[in-house]
Amino acid sequence: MSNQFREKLTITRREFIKILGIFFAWIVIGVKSVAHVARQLAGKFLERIQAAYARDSAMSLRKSQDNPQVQSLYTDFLGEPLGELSENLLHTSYIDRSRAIPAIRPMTMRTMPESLAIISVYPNPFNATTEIAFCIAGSEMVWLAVFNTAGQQVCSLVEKTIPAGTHRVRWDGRDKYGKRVASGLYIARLIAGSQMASQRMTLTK
Amino acid sequence: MRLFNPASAPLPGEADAIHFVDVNQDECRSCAHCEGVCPTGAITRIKPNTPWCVHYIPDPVYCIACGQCLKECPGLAINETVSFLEEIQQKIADPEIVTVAMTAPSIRYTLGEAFGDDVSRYEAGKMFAALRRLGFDKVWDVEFGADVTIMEESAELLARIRGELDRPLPLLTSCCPAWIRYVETYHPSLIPNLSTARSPVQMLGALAKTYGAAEIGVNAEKLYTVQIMPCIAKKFEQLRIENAKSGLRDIDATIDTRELIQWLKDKEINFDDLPDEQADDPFRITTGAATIFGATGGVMEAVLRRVVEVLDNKPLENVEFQTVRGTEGVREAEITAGELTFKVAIVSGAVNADPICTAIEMRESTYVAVEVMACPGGCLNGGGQPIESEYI
Repeated sequence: MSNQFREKLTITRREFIKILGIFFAWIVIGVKSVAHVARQLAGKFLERIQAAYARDSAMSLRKSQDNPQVQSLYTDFLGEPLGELSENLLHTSYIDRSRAIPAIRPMTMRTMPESLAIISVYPNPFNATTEIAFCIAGSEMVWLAVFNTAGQQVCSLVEKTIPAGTHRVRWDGRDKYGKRVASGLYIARLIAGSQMASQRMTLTK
Repeated sequence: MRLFNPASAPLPGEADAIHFVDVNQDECRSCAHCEGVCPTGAITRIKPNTPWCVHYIPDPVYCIACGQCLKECPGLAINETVSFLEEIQQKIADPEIVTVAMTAPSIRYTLGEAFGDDVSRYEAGKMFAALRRLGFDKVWDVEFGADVTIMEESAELLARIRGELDRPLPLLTSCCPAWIRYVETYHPSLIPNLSTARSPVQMLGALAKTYGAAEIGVNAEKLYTVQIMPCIAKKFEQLRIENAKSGLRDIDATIDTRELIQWLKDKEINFDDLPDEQADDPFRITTGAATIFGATGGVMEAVLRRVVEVLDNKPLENVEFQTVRGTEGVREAEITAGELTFKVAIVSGAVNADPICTAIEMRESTYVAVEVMACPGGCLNGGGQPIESEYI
């Protein structure tokens, strides 16, 4: 059975209980009351979304640029969108928080890979750091290391038993002594159980 | 049943180390439903690979505080750890301070559910009245902030399309704080794609403490702004250090819909008998583009109402973009405006965001703009919204 087909058939425990519950309730108390209960179980957000769109079509002003108070805000105070004052007050910047995440982390618990593979090295070619994504089919002892073209090991990124699934590892372009390595071609080699996969990556400075 | 502790307000800058949602391990029934709704895998079993064991959030850095686990937990075992409710009540009791309530577009559709007949309908008038009964001096509408957001964000999108701004396409929307944290943590290479426009309430907060304070003749330092949101991640957004563009904290406190309902019930305010009132000037008038902000695809539709009009160079006749509406996890639509034809994508639920993020990182995406809301269905189904009327 292919992975895709299996995914379609899989339901969570809670969905299974919901379906059985609705089915037995239908047998016991009839269609009309069940429809009400099923609507509640399905979540209220459909009803809420319909209420929002209904309100939108009932309003006389439907475009932001037609709002008279927004217009006077721009003429009296802000100037124009992306102007200097709005740039200061209404725009912001963002922080890279990925450093707080430990080097290795599971990407998602739902997708189970079929075999060992390095999915991606991104960015590639890279300057300073890159991220290697790989997936393993079962919980296994994994060894992920970086080699140079002469076949010498530059550094070892992962050397432990990790759960099945997709994982990402960051490489900051440093060797095992913490020294920055030279520009050029490097090979990420992943060994899990009896399988092996590798991927080329280019460091440019 | 309370899912929060009213006295637990943290200081700005502490946000990174706080669990905004946490598991009460005595209540956890090990059903593992939270694992399925968590977009990042932050909530996990206390013992890996053991079917029946309680869940926990090992480290707050993994969690984007969307609150879907809290909303979906069948045992009500997950609760909020941050609440400004007590601090707000102290500020309201202080006669020196002008307290301002700022109401999100989404909460007016869900407040009524907790009172009366459990049906979602538009209750803005009663909502404004209820907030005045609670003692707020001013009520300003975040829908106004949403209109300003559209002006800024669509100007930015147009500048990116025309190549006037040195930033890449696709433009990623920046209204959802949980999505922002998701990008910052899991896809930092997409930070240049994020719109620099702040979220509607942050814009309104910055405007309130500059333009608004001057309009009503109050010293901005005496203004205490409270955002009422359908969202837990807004508490994180409020505590971000950089959100002080007006010179003061733009937003001083956050409560979500559940906390507001609890507060109204504690004060024994009969919501159904309240009259219909309006928000206060100068942030009162709003448009249809702002009211759909809470629905998935709503931000995109509002931006298109502006962008298509500018590109067409004539007033837009049909303002309804049916192709961006829907509830599927990932949707795409083709838009024709002037001489341009472009594609946009809408992602509903951060659980569906990873493939599209990876495609953009790999330069495989052809979209011009992508809207992502971290909660499936948008803010109307947000982590801070009422769960069931009896549990709030």
